[in-house]
This record gives sequence, structure tokens and C-alpha cells, in this order.
Amino acid sequence: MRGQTKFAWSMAAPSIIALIALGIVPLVWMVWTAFQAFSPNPTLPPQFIGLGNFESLTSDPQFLGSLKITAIVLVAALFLQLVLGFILALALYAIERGRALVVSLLLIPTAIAPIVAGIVWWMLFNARFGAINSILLQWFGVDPVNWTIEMPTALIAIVVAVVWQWTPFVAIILLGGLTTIPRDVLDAAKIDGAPARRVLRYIILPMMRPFFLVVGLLMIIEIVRLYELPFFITQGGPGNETVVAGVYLFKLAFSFFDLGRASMMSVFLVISLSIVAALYMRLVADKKSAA
Amino acid sequence: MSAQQTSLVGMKRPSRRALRNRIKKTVPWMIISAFLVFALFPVYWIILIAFRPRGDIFQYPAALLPTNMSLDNIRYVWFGSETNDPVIGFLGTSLVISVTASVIAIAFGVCCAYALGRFRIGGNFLSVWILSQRFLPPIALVVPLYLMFRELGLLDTYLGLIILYATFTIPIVVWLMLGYVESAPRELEEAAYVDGAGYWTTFVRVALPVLKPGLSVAAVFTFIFIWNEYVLAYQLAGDDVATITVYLPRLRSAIAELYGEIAAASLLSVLPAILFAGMMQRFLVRGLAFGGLK
Repeated sequence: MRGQTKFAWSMAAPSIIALIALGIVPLVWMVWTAFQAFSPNPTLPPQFIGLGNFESLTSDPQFLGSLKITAIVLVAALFLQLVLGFILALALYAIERGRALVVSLLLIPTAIAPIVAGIVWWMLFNARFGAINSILLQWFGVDPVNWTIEMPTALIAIVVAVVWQWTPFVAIILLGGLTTIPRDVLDAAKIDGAPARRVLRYIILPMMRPFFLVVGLLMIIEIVRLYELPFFITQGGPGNETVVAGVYLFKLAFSFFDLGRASMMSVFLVISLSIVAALYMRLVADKKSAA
Repeated sequence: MSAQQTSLVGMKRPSRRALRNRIKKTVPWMIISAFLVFALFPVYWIILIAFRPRGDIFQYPAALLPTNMSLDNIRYVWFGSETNDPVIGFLGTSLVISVTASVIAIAFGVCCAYALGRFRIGGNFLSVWILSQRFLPPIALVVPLYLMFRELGLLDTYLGLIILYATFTIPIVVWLMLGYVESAPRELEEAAYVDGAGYWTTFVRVALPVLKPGLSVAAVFTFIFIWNEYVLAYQLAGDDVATITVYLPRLRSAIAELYGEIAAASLLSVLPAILFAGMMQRFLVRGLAFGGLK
């Protein structure tokens, strides 16, 4: 028995050590630097300033603004991803042939690097040479729109790109959920003559709840860490109106070299995301004990 | 079309039921087609621009269908030009880093998943802790990692990026492999113990072959994750050691916006993702993607 435990720990040790070295150590380091003021000159040592960074962050309109913009993108994109993703999942569930091919084509946006997704949507939304204005002009006679340099179209462009990249993934996960609903339950409802609307409302949606929660939380994490898409599509503009949290964090750290405040912002994001992760684990545990 | 119409005229009014079945068959395909157009149009656009001659790219309004074909953009990107470096070195760097880090992550991760799934060490806490690392986005850790790497002299090195990527993808491997370990039959391994095989021999000779399909899925996921990563590749490296994702934005900051070159380089950089999307779907549809939720 003891040999077995020893063997098991030695198998897990490399992973645990690596995750401590590059997961826990930076985390602790980050908390430490969050309490320090860094000089733009890297040869000068940082100074301990307690909660100074937190105070300056909470009175920083750009930080608060970046949280607000992230919240707007989050609400809009999450809503669209879940609604469109569920419609797509139902459609995929209804077809019998060709599903594997369709799914692998639909997954391409999710498999593409976010930086490339940013590049291609930046090209599509370009006011002069982009496809979207060309379609609007040629098919609908609409005058060119300055998508990425005006509001609110710049924000819409980012939301469209986020929805494009992740909705198929959401749909595939929800499709996996739909396939767990036992066929006989649906058949029984059909025999009883239940209308499709009520089957959806009283059978399908309640059984899909855990899948919605899980994929919703995964999307929250994806959107909070959003960086590449806004960085490429709008570069934060016009003004600072599309500077999401991730973009502002980078500005703090690598444009202003204010590593202390950037660390404090990271701490804030990690704590927020930890709450989300804890929620996720709880929900999964609930599902397990219920099953 | 006309055959269908005549048959409809010749028939009595189709029954409600037949009509409903018809709708049931076509509506899902209409929805799926709309999504396919949305999902694939940007890919079509990259390909279109990548093969479009420079003069045609900067025309207004942009032509939505192929115009003249040209391999210039691909050639500039592949061999380099006055405005940009050849892409091949960056693809090579990405390939070396992605493959090396994936191999390390899978070797470490599968051992860890086996220890957790078979022997239940560390109880629930250890598995939850490892899996929860997946929720720490690189962007949140990039500042302390930058400071750490600066102290350790790991900035802008292959070694730095490889150990970073390997570590960050270990939780993905563990998360994917746990389900496979738990559903693999124990009996074979117990038979091996009875025959006097040690733990390590049993793991390598008996357990690993059963886990093989899971390993290929994990390889696809880790490879794509690393290949696509930009934030760490740019902030912690990006000069001497520059991956393909670092190369792409550089084309924009050049004197002229190298539209065609960006499209051509993007196209080259997404080829592995497109190839692997087909492999990912088999796994995701089976609903196994959520270790805890099967």
C-alpha cells in the first residue's frame, strides 16, 4: 500500500512542482508587487506603498471605464452566444446526416488564433477596403460606415468578433448536453401530444441548465481576458472607448511601466475570476451529487 | 424546381403532417447554413485577399468575388521583402515551441492524471486545485511572470516559453485525461500486478496503450493552445525568439499597411487550426469535454 502511494505521488510530482513554480509563485509575487510603487527607471528599487495602488486604481476613471466596457461586451456577447448557440445546437440536434462535417467546419473560428481573428475582423470592418461596407453598399445601398473609429460601431465590431469566435463552441457544448437527454422522455412527451414549445420549456431547458451554466462561465472567463480582438480591431479607440480590462492592464504594465498598479489590477481580476471558478466547481459538484 | 411544382399541382393538398415533416427537415438546415456562412466568410476573405494582387486589394468598394489571382503576397511573406521578414523562421519557431511544450505537458499531465484518477492521492483538493489552474488566464499572470523571467534571465528564450507553455497546458491535459483514466478498466492493471509487474511497468505497458486515443486528443488541444498564444509570446519573448502570432501584428506596424501580406501570413498560420478543427469535433460532440459533467 505504501509503495503505491509513493509511486502515485512521484507520478504527480513533476506537474505539481511546475504548477507551483509558474502558477503559485507568480501569484504570490504579484500580490507582493501590487503593494509596491515601481519607478519607470528599472534600476531604481520599488517602494512599498501599502494599499496605495488600490486607492489610485479605484479613483482612476480609465480603470473604472475599462471595467464598464468589459461589462458591456460581456453582457452583449454572452447573451448572443447563449441564444444563438442554443438555436444552432437545436438545429444540429435535429439533423441526422452530415453532422460531423458541419461541426468540424463550424469549429474553425474557435480553433483560429485570437490574434488572427482580430486581424480578419479588422480587415472585414475596414471602412474602405473591407467586405462589410462593400456588402452594405452593393446589396443594400448603404453608405460606408466607419466601423472601428466611431462609437458605438467599434464596440459592435468587437462583440461581433467575439460572438463569431465562440458561438460555435457554445453550440457544440450545448449539443453535447442535448444528446444526454434520454430519447424516451422526448418520445413520451410527443405521444402525450405536448406542443414543441412546452417540451422545450418544461423538459429540454431544465435538463440543459447545468450545460448553460458551465459554458456561460467559460465564456465569462474568455471575455474578461479579452485582449487580442480589441487590440487589433479598434486598438482601444475611438479615444479610450473600447479599452477593455485586458487592454488597460497591458497599457498599465507595458506602456506606462506602472507594474505596481498593473499587479493590483491583476490581483483584482484573479480574485474576480476565482469567484467565477469557485462557482463553476460548485455547480459541477451539485450536478454530480444530483445524478 | 419545376418537377417539384408539377408534382405538387398534381397531388391533393399535402396533409398537415407531411408539411410539418418538410418544415422539420428544412428549417434546421436553413439555420445551419446561415451559421456556416457566418463562420466561414472570414476564412473565405483571408483566402481571397491572400491571393489578390495588390492593386485590386486597395479598390473601393472591395470586390466580394475572386478577381485576378496572384501569388505575390504569398511569395513576399514566404521569402521576405523590403518591408517584412520571411515568415518561415517564425513558423519554425512556433512549431519547435508548440511541439516541445506539448510533448512535455502530455508526459507530465498523463502521469499526473493517472496518479489522481487511479490512486486518488491528495483527495478532491489536489484535483480541484490542478483543474482550477485552467481558470488563471495568462493575461492576469503576465506581469509577475515578466518580473520573474527578467530576474531569471529567461526573457526572450526558447527555454522560457517552452517551460511556460508546458506548465500552462498541464491542467488541460489532466482535465482531458482524467475521464479516460477513470473509464479505463482496472482489471488489466490488476492482472499485471498479480503477474508481478511493478507500478511503472504496469503504467507504461498496460495503462498507457488504453489511454492512447485520449493522448491524441490532448495533443491536439495543447498544440493549438500554444500555437495560437499571443500575449505571453509577445511580452516574455518576441525579439530573438518570435512566434508566428508575434510576426502577424508586425506587418501592420510597417510603413504601409501590408494588407495582402497580412492575409497571406494569416492564412499560413491558421492551416494547422483548420486541420485540427476536424479532429476536435469528434471529441467535443461526445460531450466528454467537461470532465466533471459527463
